[in-house]
Amino acid sequence: MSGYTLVWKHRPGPACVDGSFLRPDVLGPLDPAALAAKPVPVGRDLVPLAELCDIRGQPGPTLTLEGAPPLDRLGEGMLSGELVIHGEAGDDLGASMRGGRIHVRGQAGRRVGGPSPTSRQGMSGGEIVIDGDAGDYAGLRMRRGLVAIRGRAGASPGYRMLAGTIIVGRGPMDAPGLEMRRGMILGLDRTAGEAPMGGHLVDVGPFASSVSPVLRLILRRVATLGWPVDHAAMDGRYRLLRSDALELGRGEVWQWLS
Amino acid sequence: MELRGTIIEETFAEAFRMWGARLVVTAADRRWVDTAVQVVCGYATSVIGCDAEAGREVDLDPSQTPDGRPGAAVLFFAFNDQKLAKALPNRVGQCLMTCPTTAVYDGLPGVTTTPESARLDLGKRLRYFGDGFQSSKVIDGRRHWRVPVMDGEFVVEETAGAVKAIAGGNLLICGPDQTTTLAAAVRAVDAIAPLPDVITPFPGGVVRSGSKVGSRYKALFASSNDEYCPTLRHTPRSKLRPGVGCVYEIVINGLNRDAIARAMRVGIEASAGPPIIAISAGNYGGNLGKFHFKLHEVMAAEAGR
Repeated sequence: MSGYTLVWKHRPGPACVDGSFLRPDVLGPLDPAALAAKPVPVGRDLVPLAELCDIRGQPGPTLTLEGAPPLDRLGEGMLSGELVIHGEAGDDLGASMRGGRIHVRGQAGRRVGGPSPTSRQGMSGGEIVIDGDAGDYAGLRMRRGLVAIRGRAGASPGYRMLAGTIIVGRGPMDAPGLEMRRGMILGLDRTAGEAPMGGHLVDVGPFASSVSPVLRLILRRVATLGWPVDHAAMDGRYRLLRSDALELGRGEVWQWLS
Repeated sequence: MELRGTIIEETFAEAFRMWGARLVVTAADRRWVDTAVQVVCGYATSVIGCDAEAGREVDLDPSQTPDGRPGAAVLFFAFNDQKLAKALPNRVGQCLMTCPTTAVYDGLPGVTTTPESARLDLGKRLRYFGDGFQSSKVIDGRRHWRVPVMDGEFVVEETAGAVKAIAGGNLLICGPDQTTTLAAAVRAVDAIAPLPDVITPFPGGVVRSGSKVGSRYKALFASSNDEYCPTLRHTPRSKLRPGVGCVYEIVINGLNRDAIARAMRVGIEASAGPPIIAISAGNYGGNLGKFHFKLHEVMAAEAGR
């Protein structure tokens, strides 16, 4: 896919920490000159983007970051396009995003897909794939969309989640779906199958994946996003836990058992 | 025109505008796919008396279905999009939601609402069977409804695409007796079966009660195609050639004109040859149907390829 690649430079002085301007739907259509002149907040100043990074490529729907520090709020509010991050992402990755895809080829910070500072709801569309681990509260208040974490998730993925899907590839999940209302959290580390998940969830029991073809739909979708999920998970057995009835009891945590 | 000794009549099949939809049905194994398809295509031979015409388009391998299970694509046709919008949820609700392990997906996902196409409510209507326990899941921009049922969940896509299509492409296979003519008709149906975008909606793909428009009885708007009935060959209206003792019709519905023409060619190729005497086609003088498939042109297109 065509688009720009931004290769970060080593630069003395204050570092750029806010990556909310790095949106493929906003930067992708710009011509190279306009992109180079794009003012970026660094410390108290605004500096042209070209001072922070080398700009390669051409206008297009994909924006690739290489060598960037773990910027916060990457892809915040994005509507379309694809943001590929070779390296780490900071906190609030994809905050309140509404569409498009983000692929982090490294770790991500806290509140992946959570709300932006001006919003009550987290992401309401789009897909985020993180090849490494993610910090606490992944999918905080998310409304719709997909967060796929191939590594471990921090504390309480899906905290106050409204709907959507979160997948965690490794490790036992720490209090998943606390105060979630709807949505689905899927744990794909079968060695963690029987680990306690907290008293806020009601254990409904073990089931074969065949009880819900939606599990297969989700896993196949994730495979197309660059996460080749273990094929045994398609036909595996899962433990289903439901969220607290005080929170509607409609949230679901599916933990792969075998 | 002759093909392997069989006369290809210089006539045409007269086909009509209909609306078509494709659903992808999956289930735990092939047995339940076959059961689901058989049931959802039941009582769906002709819109003369059915709400829709339906048939299995093609079997799908697990790699070809959205959920990775065995499946089949089924085509549905009705007079217009409103009738299709009524028939689809009824059939899916009564025949597929009830069938163990099935799930139903839209087979025309790229279709949007235009003068030539429409999105029809499917899971959007069926979800209420969940009595408040239903939930939805949006995957890759497509909303699926999850209705709790007693073997787990019935998953059905929220809407299905429908497009303007064509129904009533046909062949009349004229042979000396039932046995050999039916064998030829079956060869034609089997040859058409793997083709995309078409179905042969009648029992086993073959019609014995071909119909003409109108009747001497006011209550009926279709009646037996007496011109091709062998026991009426003594009447002046008979169109049977000498030696013809049996006629079977193959009706072909398709999503587009090319698909029907291709299916007719393939059907003629497969069924022609001794002892079949002639292959003809049903029409109404060209005054009723918008689409005319002339047999010689259909075959010429084949020869030109």
